[in-house]
Amino acid sequence: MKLAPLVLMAIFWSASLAVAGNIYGSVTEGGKPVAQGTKLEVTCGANKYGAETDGNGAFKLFAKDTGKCMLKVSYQGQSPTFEINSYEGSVQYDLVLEKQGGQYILKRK
Amino acid sequence: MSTEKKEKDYWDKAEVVLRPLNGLLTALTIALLGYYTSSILRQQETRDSNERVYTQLMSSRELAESSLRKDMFLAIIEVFLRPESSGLEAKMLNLEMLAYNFHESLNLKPLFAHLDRQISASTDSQKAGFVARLNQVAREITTRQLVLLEQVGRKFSRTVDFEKLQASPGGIELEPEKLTLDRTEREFTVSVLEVNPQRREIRMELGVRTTGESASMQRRTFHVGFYDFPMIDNTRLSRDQRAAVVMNQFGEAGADLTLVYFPGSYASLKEKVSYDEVVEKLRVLGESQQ
Repeated sequence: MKLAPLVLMAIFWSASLAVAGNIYGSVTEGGKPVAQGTKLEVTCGANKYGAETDGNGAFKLFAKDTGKCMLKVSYQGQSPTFEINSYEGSVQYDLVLEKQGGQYILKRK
Repeated sequence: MSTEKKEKDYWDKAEVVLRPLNGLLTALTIALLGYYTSSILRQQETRDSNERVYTQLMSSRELAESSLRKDMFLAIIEVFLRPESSGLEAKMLNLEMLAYNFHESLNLKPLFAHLDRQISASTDSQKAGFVARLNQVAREITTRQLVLLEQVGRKFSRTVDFEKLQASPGGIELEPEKLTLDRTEREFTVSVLEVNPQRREIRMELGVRTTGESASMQRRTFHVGFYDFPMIDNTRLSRDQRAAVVMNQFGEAGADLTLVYFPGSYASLKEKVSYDEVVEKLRVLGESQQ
Protein backbone atom coordinates (compact mmCIF):
# COMPACT_ATOMS: atom_id res chain seq x y z
CA MET A 1 0.00 0.00 0.00
CA LYS A 2 2.87 2.39 0.85
CA LEU A 3 4.36 1.63 -2.54
CA ALA A 4 1.48 3.19 -4.49
CA PRO A 5 2.31 6.86 -3.71
CA LEU A 6 5.95 6.21 -4.54
CA VAL A 7 5.02 4.66 -7.89
CA LEU A 8 2.69 7.58 -8.62
CA MET A 9 5.44 10.05 -7.73
CA ALA A 10 7.86 8.23 -10.02
CA ILE A 11 5.32 8.35 -12.87
CA PHE A 12 4.75 12.10 -12.38
CA TRP A 13 8.51 12.71 -12.17
CA SER A 14 9.19 10.81 -15.40
CA ALA A 15 6.28 12.61 -17.09
CA SER A 16 7.72 15.99 -16.12
CA LEU A 17 11.07 14.92 -17.58
CA ALA A 18 9.40 13.90 -20.82
CA VAL A 19 8.01 17.36 -21.44
CA ALA A 20 11.17 19.19 -20.51
CA GLY A 21 13.79 20.55 -22.89
CA ASN A 22 17.15 22.18 -23.16
CA ILE A 23 17.46 25.76 -24.33
CA TYR A 24 20.90 26.65 -25.55
CA GLY A 25 22.58 29.17 -27.80
CA SER A 26 24.73 32.27 -27.68
CA VAL A 27 24.53 36.02 -27.17
CA THR A 28 26.68 38.33 -29.29
CA GLU A 29 26.98 42.03 -29.90
CA GLY A 30 28.57 43.39 -33.10
CA GLY A 31 29.82 39.91 -34.01
CA LYS A 32 31.61 39.47 -30.69
CA PRO A 33 30.44 37.37 -27.73
CA VAL A 34 29.16 39.21 -24.68
CA ALA A 35 31.28 39.14 -21.54
CA GLN A 36 31.57 35.91 -19.61
CA GLY A 37 29.05 35.70 -16.78
CA THR A 38 26.32 37.76 -18.48
CA LYS A 39 23.10 36.74 -16.77
CA LEU A 40 20.12 35.26 -18.60
CA GLU A 41 16.72 34.43 -17.22
CA VAL A 42 13.98 32.40 -18.86
CA THR A 43 10.47 32.81 -17.49
CA CYS A 44 7.90 30.16 -18.39
CA GLY A 45 4.67 30.95 -16.59
CA ALA A 46 5.47 31.06 -12.90
CA ASN A 47 8.79 29.23 -13.28
CA LYS A 48 12.10 30.98 -13.75
CA TYR A 49 15.34 29.44 -14.99
CA GLY A 50 18.66 31.22 -14.82
CA ALA A 51 21.93 30.82 -16.71
CA GLU A 52 25.18 32.66 -17.39
CA THR A 53 27.19 32.98 -20.57
CA ASP A 54 30.63 31.39 -20.85
CA GLY A 55 33.75 32.86 -22.45
CA ASN A 56 32.27 32.37 -25.93
CA GLY A 57 28.95 34.00 -25.10
CA ALA A 58 27.26 30.58 -25.04
CA PHE A 59 24.57 29.54 -22.59
CA LYS A 60 22.58 26.45 -21.79
CA LEU A 61 19.67 25.90 -19.45
CA PHE A 62 17.12 23.27 -18.73
CA ALA A 63 13.46 24.30 -18.67
CA LYS A 64 10.90 21.92 -17.26
CA ASP A 65 8.02 23.67 -19.03
CA THR A 66 7.13 23.65 -22.70
CA GLY A 67 5.45 26.45 -24.62
CA LYS A 68 6.01 30.16 -24.76
CA CYS A 69 8.65 31.63 -22.46
CA MET A 70 10.40 34.97 -22.11
CA LEU A 71 14.18 35.19 -22.21
CA LYS A 72 15.81 38.18 -20.51
CA VAL A 73 19.46 39.19 -20.81
CA SER A 74 20.97 41.50 -18.20
CA TYR A 75 23.44 43.59 -20.18
CA GLN A 76 25.06 46.93 -19.38
CA GLY A 77 22.33 48.01 -16.99
CA GLN A 78 19.55 47.05 -19.42
CA SER A 79 17.34 43.98 -19.62
CA PRO A 80 16.24 43.34 -23.22
CA THR A 81 13.79 40.47 -23.64
CA PHE A 82 12.96 38.01 -26.40
CA GLU A 83 10.04 35.62 -26.72
CA ILE A 84 11.13 32.02 -27.10
CA ASN A 85 9.52 28.61 -27.23
CA SER A 86 10.48 25.65 -25.09
CA TYR A 87 9.93 22.21 -26.61
CA GLU A 88 10.17 18.58 -25.58
CA GLY A 89 13.60 18.42 -27.17
CA SER A 90 16.48 20.87 -27.43
CA VAL A 91 16.19 24.23 -29.11
CA GLN A 92 18.92 26.65 -30.10
CA TYR A 93 18.63 30.42 -29.78
CA ASP A 94 21.58 32.39 -31.12
CA LEU A 95 20.77 35.95 -30.16
CA VAL A 96 22.23 39.24 -31.27
CA LEU A 97 22.14 42.41 -29.17
CA GLU A 98 21.45 45.50 -31.24
CA LYS A 99 21.27 49.07 -30.03
CA GLN A 100 18.27 51.06 -31.28
CA GLY A 101 17.90 54.59 -29.96
CA GLY A 102 20.09 53.90 -26.96
CA GLN A 103 18.13 50.78 -26.04
CA TYR A 104 19.32 47.23 -26.55
CA ILE A 105 17.03 44.83 -28.35
CA LEU A 106 17.48 41.11 -28.95
CA LYS A 107 17.25 39.54 -32.40
CA ARG A 108 17.55 35.94 -33.45
CA LYS A 109 20.38 34.93 -35.78
CA MET B 1 115.75 43.06 -81.36
CA SER B 2 115.17 43.66 -77.77
CA THR B 3 113.90 40.93 -75.55
CA GLU B 4 112.51 43.26 -73.01
CA LYS B 5 110.38 41.44 -70.56
CA LYS B 6 107.13 43.20 -69.63
CA GLU B 7 106.57 43.22 -65.93
CA LYS B 8 103.41 41.39 -64.88
CA ASP B 9 100.83 43.50 -63.10
CA TYR B 10 98.16 42.45 -60.58
CA TRP B 11 95.60 41.48 -63.26
CA ASP B 12 98.07 39.29 -65.12
CA LYS B 13 98.81 37.43 -61.92
CA ALA B 14 95.13 37.05 -61.17
CA GLU B 15 94.54 35.69 -64.67
CA VAL B 16 97.21 33.03 -64.16
CA VAL B 17 95.61 31.90 -60.91
CA LEU B 18 91.95 32.15 -62.04
CA ARG B 19 92.22 30.60 -65.51
CA PRO B 20 92.24 26.98 -64.30
CA LEU B 21 89.54 27.90 -61.77
CA ASN B 22 87.34 29.24 -64.58
CA GLY B 23 86.99 25.81 -66.14
CA LEU B 24 86.41 24.23 -62.78
CA LEU B 25 83.64 26.71 -61.88
CA THR B 26 81.92 26.21 -65.27
CA ALA B 27 81.97 22.43 -64.81
CA LEU B 28 80.64 22.82 -61.27
CA THR B 29 77.82 25.13 -62.39
CA ILE B 30 76.77 22.72 -65.15
CA ALA B 31 76.85 19.81 -62.71
CA LEU B 32 74.75 21.70 -60.13
CA LEU B 33 72.25 22.81 -62.76
CA GLY B 34 71.91 19.25 -64.03
CA TYR B 35 71.45 17.91 -60.52
CA TYR B 36 68.84 20.57 -59.67
CA THR B 37 66.86 19.97 -62.89
CA SER B 38 66.85 16.20 -62.50
CA SER B 39 65.85 16.58 -58.84
CA ILE B 40 62.84 18.73 -59.84
CA LEU B 41 61.88 16.24 -62.53
CA ARG B 42 62.22 13.35 -60.05
CA GLN B 43 60.01 15.17 -57.50
CA GLN B 44 57.40 15.89 -60.16
CA GLU B 45 57.45 12.24 -61.23
CA THR B 46 57.06 11.04 -57.64
CA ARG B 47 54.17 13.47 -57.07
CA ASP B 48 52.45 12.34 -60.28
CA SER B 49 52.93 8.71 -59.39
CA ASN B 50 51.56 9.28 -55.85
CA GLU B 51 48.55 11.09 -57.25
CA ARG B 52 47.94 8.27 -59.71
CA VAL B 53 48.14 5.64 -56.97
CA TYR B 54 45.85 7.70 -54.70
CA THR B 55 43.30 8.18 -57.49
CA GLN B 56 43.37 4.48 -58.34
CA LEU B 57 42.96 3.54 -54.68
CA MET B 58 40.10 5.98 -54.21
CA SER B 59 38.25 4.87 -57.34
CA SER B 60 38.60 1.18 -56.54
CA ARG B 61 37.41 1.84 -52.97
CA GLU B 62 34.52 3.89 -54.30
CA LEU B 63 33.64 1.07 -56.69
CA ALA B 64 33.73 -1.53 -53.92
CA GLU B 65 31.61 0.70 -51.65
CA SER B 66 29.10 1.37 -54.42
CA SER B 67 28.74 -2.32 -55.12
CA LEU B 68 28.27 -3.10 -51.41
CA ARG B 69 25.76 -0.26 -51.02
CA LYS B 70 23.85 -1.42 -54.10
CA ASP B 71 23.53 -4.97 -52.72
CA MET B 72 22.53 -3.62 -49.34
CA PHE B 73 20.00 -1.24 -50.84
CA LEU B 74 18.39 -3.97 -52.95
CA ALA B 75 18.12 -6.29 -49.95
CA ILE B 76 16.55 -3.60 -47.75
CA ILE B 77 14.15 -2.13 -50.29
CA GLU B 78 12.82 -5.62 -51.04
CA VAL B 79 11.31 -5.73 -47.55
CA PHE B 80 9.19 -2.68 -48.34
CA LEU B 81 8.22 -3.79 -51.83
CA ARG B 82 7.33 -7.42 -51.04
CA PRO B 83 3.60 -8.02 -51.31
CA GLU B 84 3.51 -10.18 -48.17
CA SER B 85 4.03 -7.64 -45.45
CA SER B 86 6.65 -8.17 -42.80
CA GLY B 87 6.22 -6.92 -39.26
CA LEU B 88 6.67 -3.35 -38.10
CA GLU B 89 9.89 -4.23 -36.28
CA ALA B 90 11.50 -5.56 -39.49
CA LYS B 91 10.31 -2.54 -41.47
CA MET B 92 11.54 -0.16 -38.79
CA LEU B 93 14.95 -1.83 -38.69
CA ASN B 94 15.23 -1.69 -42.48
CA LEU B 95 14.24 1.94 -42.56
CA GLU B 96 16.90 2.68 -39.95
CA MET B 97 19.48 0.84 -42.08
CA LEU B 98 18.42 2.77 -45.18
CA ALA B 99 18.33 6.12 -43.43
CA TYR B 100 21.70 5.82 -41.73
CA ASN B 101 23.43 4.51 -44.86
CA PHE B 102 21.73 6.33 -47.70
CA HIS B 103 20.43 9.58 -46.23
CA GLU B 104 22.75 11.62 -48.45
CA SER B 105 21.67 10.03 -51.70
CA LEU B 106 18.01 9.03 -51.39
CA ASN B 107 14.86 10.94 -50.61
CA LEU B 108 13.47 8.77 -47.84
CA LYS B 109 10.49 11.00 -47.05
CA PRO B 110 7.96 8.72 -48.83
CA LEU B 111 9.25 5.72 -46.90
CA PHE B 112 9.14 7.57 -43.57
CA ALA B 113 5.59 8.77 -44.33
CA HIS B 114 4.57 5.26 -45.42
CA LEU B 115 5.85 3.68 -42.21
CA ASP B 116 4.32 6.51 -40.17
CA ARG B 117 0.91 5.73 -41.73
CA GLN B 118 1.38 2.00 -41.11
CA ILE B 119 2.30 2.57 -37.47
CA SER B 120 -0.70 4.88 -36.98
CA ALA B 121 -3.05 2.26 -38.44
CA SER B 122 -1.59 -0.66 -36.51
CA THR B 123 -2.84 -2.09 -33.24
CA ASP B 124 0.64 -3.11 -32.13
CA SER B 125 1.27 -2.77 -28.40
CA GLN B 126 4.64 -1.15 -29.17
CA LYS B 127 3.08 1.52 -31.39
CA ALA B 128 4.30 4.45 -29.28
CA GLY B 129 7.81 3.02 -29.26
CA PHE B 130 7.86 2.77 -33.06
CA VAL B 131 6.66 6.37 -33.43
CA ALA B 132 9.42 7.54 -31.09
CA ARG B 133 12.03 5.50 -33.00
CA LEU B 134 10.85 6.87 -36.34
CA ASN B 135 11.03 10.46 -35.11
CA GLN B 136 14.40 9.87 -33.50
CA VAL B 137 15.93 8.54 -36.74
CA ALA B 138 14.51 11.50 -38.69
CA ARG B 139 15.85 14.03 -36.19
CA GLU B 140 19.27 12.40 -36.03
CA ILE B 141 19.59 12.49 -39.81
CA THR B 142 18.40 16.09 -40.00
CA THR B 143 20.80 17.18 -37.25
CA ARG B 144 23.68 15.32 -38.89
CA GLN B 145 23.05 17.03 -42.22
CA LEU B 146 22.37 20.42 -40.66
CA VAL B 147 25.61 20.40 -38.66
CA LEU B 148 27.60 19.86 -41.86
CA LEU B 149 25.64 22.39 -43.92
CA GLU B 150 25.92 25.06 -41.22
CA GLN B 151 29.70 24.77 -41.36
CA VAL B 152 29.94 25.28 -45.11
CA GLY B 153 27.01 27.67 -45.46
CA ARG B 154 24.96 30.28 -43.62
CA LYS B 155 21.77 29.93 -41.61
CA PHE B 156 19.14 31.68 -39.57
CA SER B 157 16.38 30.39 -37.33
CA ARG B 158 12.88 31.58 -36.61
CA THR B 159 10.03 30.63 -34.30
CA VAL B 160 6.50 30.12 -35.61
CA ASP B 161 3.89 31.29 -33.15
CA PHE B 162 0.73 29.23 -33.71
CA GLU B 163 -1.40 31.75 -31.81
CA LYS B 164 -0.33 34.54 -34.17
CA LEU B 165 -0.92 32.25 -37.16
CA GLN B 166 -4.44 31.50 -36.00
CA ALA B 167 -5.12 35.20 -35.68
CA SER B 168 -4.01 35.87 -39.28
CA PRO B 169 -5.65 33.36 -41.64
CA GLY B 170 -3.59 34.50 -44.64
CA GLY B 171 -0.42 33.33 -42.93
CA ILE B 172 2.41 35.11 -41.20
CA GLU B 173 5.67 36.33 -42.63
CA LEU B 174 8.66 35.71 -40.37
CA GLU B 175 11.42 38.29 -40.11
CA PRO B 176 13.46 38.28 -43.37
CA GLU B 177 17.21 37.83 -43.37
CA LYS B 178 20.07 38.64 -45.75
CA LEU B 179 22.75 35.96 -46.05
CA THR B 180 25.97 36.07 -48.07
CA LEU B 181 27.71 32.99 -49.42
CA ASP B 182 30.65 33.05 -51.86
CA ARG B 183 30.12 36.76 -52.52
CA THR B 184 26.46 36.19 -53.42
CA GLU B 185 24.04 38.06 -51.19
CA ARG B 186 20.44 36.86 -51.07
CA GLU B 187 17.45 37.99 -49.08
CA PHE B 188 15.29 35.17 -47.72
CA THR B 189 11.73 35.44 -46.47
CA VAL B 190 9.84 32.60 -44.87
CA SER B 191 6.05 32.81 -44.66
CA VAL B 192 4.00 30.26 -42.74
CA LEU B 193 0.67 29.58 -44.42
CA GLU B 194 -0.81 26.60 -42.60
CA VAL B 195 -0.05 24.14 -39.82
CA ASN B 196 -1.13 20.53 -39.64
CA PRO B 197 -0.71 19.44 -36.00
CA GLN B 198 -1.68 15.82 -36.71
CA ARG B 199 0.98 15.33 -39.35
CA ARG B 200 3.27 17.85 -37.67
CA GLU B 201 3.77 19.62 -40.96
CA ILE B 202 3.88 23.27 -41.97
CA ARG B 203 2.90 24.66 -45.36
CA MET B 204 5.14 27.55 -46.13
CA GLU B 205 6.37 29.91 -48.78
CA LEU B 206 10.03 30.63 -49.30
CA GLY B 207 10.98 33.87 -51.01
CA VAL B 208 14.48 34.49 -52.42
CA ARG B 209 15.85 37.69 -53.90
CA THR B 210 19.43 37.86 -55.16
CA THR B 211 21.07 41.24 -54.70
CA GLY B 212 22.16 42.71 -58.01
CA GLU B 213 20.49 39.95 -60.02
CA SER B 214 16.77 40.66 -59.86
CA ALA B 215 14.51 43.09 -58.09
CA SER B 216 11.61 40.65 -57.80
CA MET B 217 11.38 37.94 -55.20
CA GLN B 218 11.12 34.36 -56.42
CA ARG B 219 8.65 32.36 -54.36
CA ARG B 220 8.10 28.67 -53.80
CA THR B 221 5.41 27.00 -51.70
CA PHE B 222 6.07 23.63 -50.04
CA HIS B 223 5.43 21.53 -46.94
CA VAL B 224 8.08 20.98 -44.32
CA GLY B 225 8.04 18.31 -41.63
CA PHE B 226 10.40 16.11 -39.67
CA TYR B 227 10.95 13.84 -42.69
CA ASP B 228 12.38 16.55 -44.93
CA PHE B 229 16.15 16.34 -44.97
CA PRO B 230 18.06 19.46 -46.12
CA MET B 231 20.67 17.77 -48.31
CA ILE B 232 17.93 16.05 -50.31
CA ASP B 233 14.94 18.34 -50.09
CA ASN B 234 16.15 21.81 -50.96
CA THR B 235 15.55 24.69 -53.33
CA ARG B 236 17.99 25.01 -56.18
CA LEU B 237 19.34 28.54 -56.65
CA SER B 238 21.55 30.12 -59.29
CA ARG B 239 25.37 29.84 -59.08
CA ASP B 240 25.10 26.22 -57.89
CA GLN B 241 23.72 27.15 -54.48
CA ARG B 242 20.89 25.68 -52.41
CA ALA B 243 18.52 26.75 -49.63
CA ALA B 244 16.59 24.38 -47.37
CA VAL B 245 14.16 24.89 -44.52
CA VAL B 246 14.43 22.46 -41.63
CA MET B 247 11.85 21.92 -38.90
CA ASN B 248 13.82 21.51 -35.68
CA GLN B 249 10.95 21.34 -33.21
CA PHE B 250 7.19 21.20 -33.23
CA GLY B 251 5.23 21.92 -30.08
CA GLU B 252 1.73 22.88 -29.05
CA ALA B 253 2.46 26.61 -29.03
CA GLY B 254 4.86 26.84 -31.93
CA ALA B 255 7.56 25.39 -34.13
CA ASP B 256 11.22 26.11 -34.64
CA LEU B 257 12.58 26.47 -38.17
CA THR B 258 16.07 26.92 -39.59
CA LEU B 259 16.87 28.09 -43.09
CA VAL B 260 20.25 26.93 -44.31
CA TYR B 261 21.92 28.39 -47.40
CA PHE B 262 24.74 26.24 -48.72
CA PRO B 263 26.90 25.37 -51.76
CA GLY B 264 25.36 22.95 -54.26
CA SER B 265 28.32 20.58 -53.93
CA TYR B 266 26.95 19.59 -50.51
CA ALA B 267 23.50 18.73 -51.84
CA SER B 268 22.53 15.12 -52.45
CA LEU B 269 24.21 12.98 -55.09
CA LYS B 270 20.90 12.48 -56.90
CA GLU B 271 20.97 15.94 -58.44
CA LYS B 272 23.32 16.59 -61.29
CA VAL B 273 25.11 19.90 -61.62
CA SER B 274 24.24 21.62 -64.89
CA TYR B 275 26.95 21.74 -67.57
CA ASP B 276 26.86 25.54 -67.59
CA GLU B 277 27.65 25.60 -63.89
CA VAL B 278 30.54 23.14 -64.35
CA VAL B 279 32.01 25.26 -67.16
CA GLU B 280 31.60 28.41 -65.06
CA LYS B 281 33.34 26.74 -62.10
CA LEU B 282 36.25 25.62 -64.29
CA ARG B 283 36.55 29.13 -65.70
CA VAL B 284 36.66 30.67 -62.19
CA LEU B 285 39.17 28.04 -61.07
CA GLY B 286 41.39 28.76 -64.10
CA GLU B 287 41.25 32.49 -63.39
CA SER B 288 42.16 32.05 -59.73
CA GLN B 289 45.13 29.82 -60.64
CA GLN B 290 46.44 32.45 -63.06
